[in-house]
Amino acid sequence: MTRQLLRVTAHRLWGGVLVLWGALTVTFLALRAAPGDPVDTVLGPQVGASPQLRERISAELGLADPWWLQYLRSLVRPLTGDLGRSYQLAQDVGDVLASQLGPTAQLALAATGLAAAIAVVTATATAGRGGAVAAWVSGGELLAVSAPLFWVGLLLLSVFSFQLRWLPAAGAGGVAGLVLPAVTLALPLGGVMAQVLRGALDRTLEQPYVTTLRARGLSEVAVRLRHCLRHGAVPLITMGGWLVGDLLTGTVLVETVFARPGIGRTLVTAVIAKDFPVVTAVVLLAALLFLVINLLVDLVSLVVDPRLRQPGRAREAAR
Amino acid sequence: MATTEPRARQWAVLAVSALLAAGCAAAAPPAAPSAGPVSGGTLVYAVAREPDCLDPHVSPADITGEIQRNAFDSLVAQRPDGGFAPWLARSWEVAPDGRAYTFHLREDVRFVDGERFDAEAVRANFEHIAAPETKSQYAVSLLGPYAGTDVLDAGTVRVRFHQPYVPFLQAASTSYLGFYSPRALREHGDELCAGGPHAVGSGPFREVSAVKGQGVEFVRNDAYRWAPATAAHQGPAHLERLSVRVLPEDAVRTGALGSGQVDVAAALPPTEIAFVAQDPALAVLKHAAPGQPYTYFFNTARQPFADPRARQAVRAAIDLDGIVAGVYFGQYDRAHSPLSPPTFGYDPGTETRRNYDPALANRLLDELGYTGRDAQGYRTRDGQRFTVVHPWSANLVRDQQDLVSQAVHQELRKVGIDLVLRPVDSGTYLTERNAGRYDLIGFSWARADPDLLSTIYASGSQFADGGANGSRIHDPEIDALLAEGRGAVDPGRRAQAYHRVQQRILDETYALPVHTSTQAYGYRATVHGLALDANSWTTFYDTWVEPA
Repeated sequence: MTRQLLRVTAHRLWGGVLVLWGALTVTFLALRAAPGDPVDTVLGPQVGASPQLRERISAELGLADPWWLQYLRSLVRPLTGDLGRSYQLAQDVGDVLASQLGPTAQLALAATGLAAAIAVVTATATAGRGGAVAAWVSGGELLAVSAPLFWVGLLLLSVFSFQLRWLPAAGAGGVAGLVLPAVTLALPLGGVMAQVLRGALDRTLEQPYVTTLRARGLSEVAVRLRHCLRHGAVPLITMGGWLVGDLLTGTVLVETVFARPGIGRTLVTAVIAKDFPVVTAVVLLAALLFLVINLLVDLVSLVVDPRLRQPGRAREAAR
Repeated sequence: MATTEPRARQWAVLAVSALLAAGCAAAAPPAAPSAGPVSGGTLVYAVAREPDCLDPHVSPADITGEIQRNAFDSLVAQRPDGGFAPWLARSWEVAPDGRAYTFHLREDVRFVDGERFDAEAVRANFEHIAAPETKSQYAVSLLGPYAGTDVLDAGTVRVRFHQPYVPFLQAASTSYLGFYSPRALREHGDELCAGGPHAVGSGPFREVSAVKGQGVEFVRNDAYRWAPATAAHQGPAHLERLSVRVLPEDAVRTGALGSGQVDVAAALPPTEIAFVAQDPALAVLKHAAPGQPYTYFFNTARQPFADPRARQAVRAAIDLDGIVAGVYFGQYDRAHSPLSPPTFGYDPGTETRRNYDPALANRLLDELGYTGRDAQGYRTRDGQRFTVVHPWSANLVRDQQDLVSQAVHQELRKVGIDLVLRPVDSGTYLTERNAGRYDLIGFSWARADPDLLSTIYASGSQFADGGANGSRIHDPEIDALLAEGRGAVDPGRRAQAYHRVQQRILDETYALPVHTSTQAYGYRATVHGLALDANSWTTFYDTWVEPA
């Protein structure tokens, strides 16, 4: 198994280098292809700028250099740990991200935990059982998945913060400030995860070994939690990559509604302002995160699902 | 967030505001407190926008100027009547030719890092603003034709200009020309945009932290003894802490105000003003901002608006009174002049002009030769439709100006003009605007001095020059009048020059003023002494909160 893990890891690492190169290249091209001059957005909408000021800003941002030099710089600079300086904020990108990473990580972890809890509870409780309760729960999940995050956030705010006054509306201050944003973000994730998990559990519960377990007199709760959940969790784990993507897009909206500092909100303002260094750094960060999560997903799958450890099948799993 | 507002509620607001009439919704201060100001406590102020850069020497943003007012002092303070009062300067003299100002400084002023404020500090700050490395986007233009600063002795400083520059006192009263500790400029010159502990001023509050996406925290400067003569009290501020939070969503900001999570909320949407005013626990402070109202500019450098009759036709076709009243629920005033009423030199004579006249619009369009009609009913000339291209960017729109444009589209359609509302991203908008690829654009500009008309209407202020000449005009008469206004030391003569500029702009139909920019603040009834400065921005020096 160890050799297999090493092979999977090496394979992934090489793929990761290609992914990072691709992400940087696509970002570079997309930002250059987008209309508008970054100098304009740096200066803001109010005034035009004197030609001298434009030249000065353009030179300082390195925008006056030929495109291939700019491209090479965007590839090489991150290798040296230098993420550059934000055009818009006039601060080092590393400092900006460092200050915004914590709140986003808190939010993402809290939402993931909550979503997993929602999924496990509702799926194990209703899997394999028809009837009105299951239909209602499933309908609720569908609603959670399809309701716009923005609207859910405002709804929760107006009930729990403005009317009942239980929780603060904004700010990253402490656990109380984390509850509403985390719930908002967790609801759609939990909905999707619950549907996937229930599907898997439904299939598992039909397996012959479940009948065997029941025949041995195991309680229904034990059958579901101790035996079926492990099987049902495999498709959920492979959703890890999707989960990261969904979390990242979700934080953009949630951080805006709840006025939380964070990477999502930083990214939006940076894209609007054509703040190349910040956008590039966030894309790099997201790509790295994706790689790490996908690697973990593969490794965890190998641990959870013994079938994948058979020779010849690990490669499939690595794909 | 018009999309989240249920329609029924909008109608309810309309009905309520109609019942309340204008007077009730305007500033309705709560009953005077029985006791005097209380020292201590924290005030939470929710703002709608996040400053990109917190350095007032660099950023042109209103929000930077407003927030940093708490940490930075100026040489003089502007009085409500437009005159000036001593602040860090005890007194001053203006040279008869208007090309030099000598300031006699207070000697007891210290920055919060312990550095002394003196003539050398004034020189260091103005030189810092003027230095090209600073890349100042606004403060440098407030210095005008700046030539240099001379330190005459520790307490006396002379600022020189290449040409007469009368607006300098107003410029010097803004926070954009506020003073950093020279040590902060020396040691942290390239980190000032981050604000926080680097924003070392001499103001009534010390800036302890600034977190992007969250806000700015201030604590009281207990050593403060140099409040401007315009303030209601002297000595340290009443509030012990001031917390500025960025809440970009209108619904969240007003909700947080209503539930007591913030004490003061900026930028109340017009739909909410009547609601907030009605709530006995809340009050509204509403003030027209000085400067340039929200204005449409005709691109006179290309057809169709190179012909004044085309501009007059558009003006005559639009019932702006009705549009402004409808879009803003009667909360914003219709603008009549290129200057807002609270600005020095505003000409009330502009208010009597009556422009709406659809019959005239149709007659002018016939005269211009747009007599044909195409399948959609728009007027054509030689088979060409009368099209007006109006680019706009959702990121730059304020105050539901996109709704105004939609209403204007409807009005113009009635006379057969096709107003093409072209939504673009901000980068495209700025590029197209700077290159003059538009027929109509709109923007507003806050500044408490009529000299801002030079930025918007002088020949040398095209977008490519670093100005904002939205109509792209080159009018020697306006240039001469603007120069006269800039150089006239006598206030009467100065006002006269600006009156003539305003009349000339309207006579030539270079621009079409729409509505006065209005600052509406909501605050808890427990907040007292909330004041607005000459820019209609909050100042918290005299503010205090009732203990809970």
